Amino acid sequence: MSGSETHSTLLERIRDGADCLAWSDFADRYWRLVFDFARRRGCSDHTAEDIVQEVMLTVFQHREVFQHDRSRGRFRAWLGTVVRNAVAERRRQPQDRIRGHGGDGQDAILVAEAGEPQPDAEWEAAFDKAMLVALLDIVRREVAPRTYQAFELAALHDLPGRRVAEITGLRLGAVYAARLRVLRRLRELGAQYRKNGQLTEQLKQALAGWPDPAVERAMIARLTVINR
Amino acid sequence: MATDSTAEWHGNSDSVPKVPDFDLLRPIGEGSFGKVWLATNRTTGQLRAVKLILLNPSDRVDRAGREIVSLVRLEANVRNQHPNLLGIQHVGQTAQHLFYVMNPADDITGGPASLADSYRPATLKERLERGPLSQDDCLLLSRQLLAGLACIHKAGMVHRDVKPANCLFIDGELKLGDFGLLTMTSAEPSLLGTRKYMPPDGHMDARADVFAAGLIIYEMLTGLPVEAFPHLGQRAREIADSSALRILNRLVLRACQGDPKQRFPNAIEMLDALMEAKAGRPRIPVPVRTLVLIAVVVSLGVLTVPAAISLWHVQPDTVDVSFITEPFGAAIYLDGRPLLQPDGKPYRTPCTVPGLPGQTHHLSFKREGNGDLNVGEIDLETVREVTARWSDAPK
Repeated sequence: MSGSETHSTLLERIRDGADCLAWSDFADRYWRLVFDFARRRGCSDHTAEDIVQEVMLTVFQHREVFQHDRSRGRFRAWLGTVVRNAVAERRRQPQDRIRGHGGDGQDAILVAEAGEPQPDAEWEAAFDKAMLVALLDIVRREVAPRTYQAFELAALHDLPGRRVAEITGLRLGAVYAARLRVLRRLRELGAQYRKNGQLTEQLKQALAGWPDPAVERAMIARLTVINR
Repeated sequence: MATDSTAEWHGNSDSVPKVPDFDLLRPIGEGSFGKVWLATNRTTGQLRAVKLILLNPSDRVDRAGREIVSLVRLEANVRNQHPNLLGIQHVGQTAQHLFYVMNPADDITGGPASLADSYRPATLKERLERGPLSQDDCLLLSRQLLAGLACIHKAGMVHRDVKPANCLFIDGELKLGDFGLLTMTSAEPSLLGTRKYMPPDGHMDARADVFAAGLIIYEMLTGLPVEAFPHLGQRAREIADSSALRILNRLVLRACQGDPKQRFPNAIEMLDALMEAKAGRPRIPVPVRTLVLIAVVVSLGVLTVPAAISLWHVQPDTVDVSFITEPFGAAIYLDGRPLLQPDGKPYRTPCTVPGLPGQTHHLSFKREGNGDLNVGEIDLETVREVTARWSDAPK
């Protein structure tokens, strides 16, 4: 299964809105991308959270689009336009006028969305990072918790095997085996992301943009509300 | 699933229900089957929390009956009130509701409960929203949570709805509350509970309580929501550098195993494991290394530095041994024969090979492109891990 297949299958599954689990997967996969992009464009944490919620709502409302055009490239550009316009709209309006007017914000997004998707190198790079993290997330759900943690600590935090063994309760040999197993699976899933052989370096950079735990908790609570 | 009964907890949403001896002031929370009110005792003026459960709901689910049964069980089985279980002071009934009276939780600011509009009950859920807990708080609250849960398990019951919202703070101490789903251990496992904290097998028994407790400790440790488990996030390095947090993480990983048989069977054992690990007598699995052998060999295959590092304990007849080489991918030869997996393929490093005879063997590794690495004689009665690497040239 490649990353793009995973992606298009997911889009197909959320089309009718009945697959709550697919929607939850979708939101989980993309919200950090939107959040990080908004933060990089100068938004506060709070505004970035609002933008995530708006964008996810827009995607949910436009899910029928995926029936006709579900190619990965088009979706990526379409989402990029939605996000860029949401950010631009927020920056144009005073904070107090926007807050509490979900409808106004949404309208702005919908109008902009009707136009042609525009390429943006920054968005393309951010999207690639998000896809890489999404692949890591798939592997996280596939392997035992200890195996995932051993990989994360050894490969992404560069901790020595002996220390990883102490943290996870695995034997040293099992730590190395866990690292290899997760890397192998990541390579299987994300062949297109390892052209230069720096998969773990790319993952480290992608994870560096993750929001802090308090934002994680707040955002997951807000996205759960959309799904209800 | 814990039911959200807000829509019908009382007939008219505009009216405040009446209960004997107490004036209900405003709702301050929700339990599995009803709403919790801040209330004052009409005679003493003391502030209390009163939980109301509708007696005859339209959906015919007898929540009140279920809650009464749970409270009777609790009363019958937990004779002496435990400091980490929320105490029930009084149980009563009106024409419409079952109600019971408890001490109110502290305010989220840390002060006592008050009549002020700003009062919000302090729960672990609210505390977690403010970020990861300090190392001391993680340990203290983990112990308190497990002590309360262990008391329930000791009494032969299971809670089935262990989650941060059901952990309240009174006088700064964690109290596990909401006994609406409490049942006997002997009952058939069911699917009642809160989905996020349910184990993947869905069996809500004592091991499911252990799973939920493990996830709560994970949240305290990392500050992350359960959805992120077992990702350690920004706190990975802090956890790595603290022996107390490492102990907690190992406790979490065992409690949250997918296979219920690999979890602690109940909170009593989980608490024991925590206390023993803290006291320096670990029962939580730690890497078993009897003797680690390190060998550095030059490319010509000459053994240059063999070194024995530590001896922890001696193992009997057959042993499991870990083999690690740098680079990985070497075949392992004991007494000139390759070690083979059950399917006939050779083991390749890094790996742990089970069931090897615990005696002296001649060990070597072979790796394409690196040639032979001859380690020499090793005694598998004492060696449990071999780390070896090829070196391009002697320094």
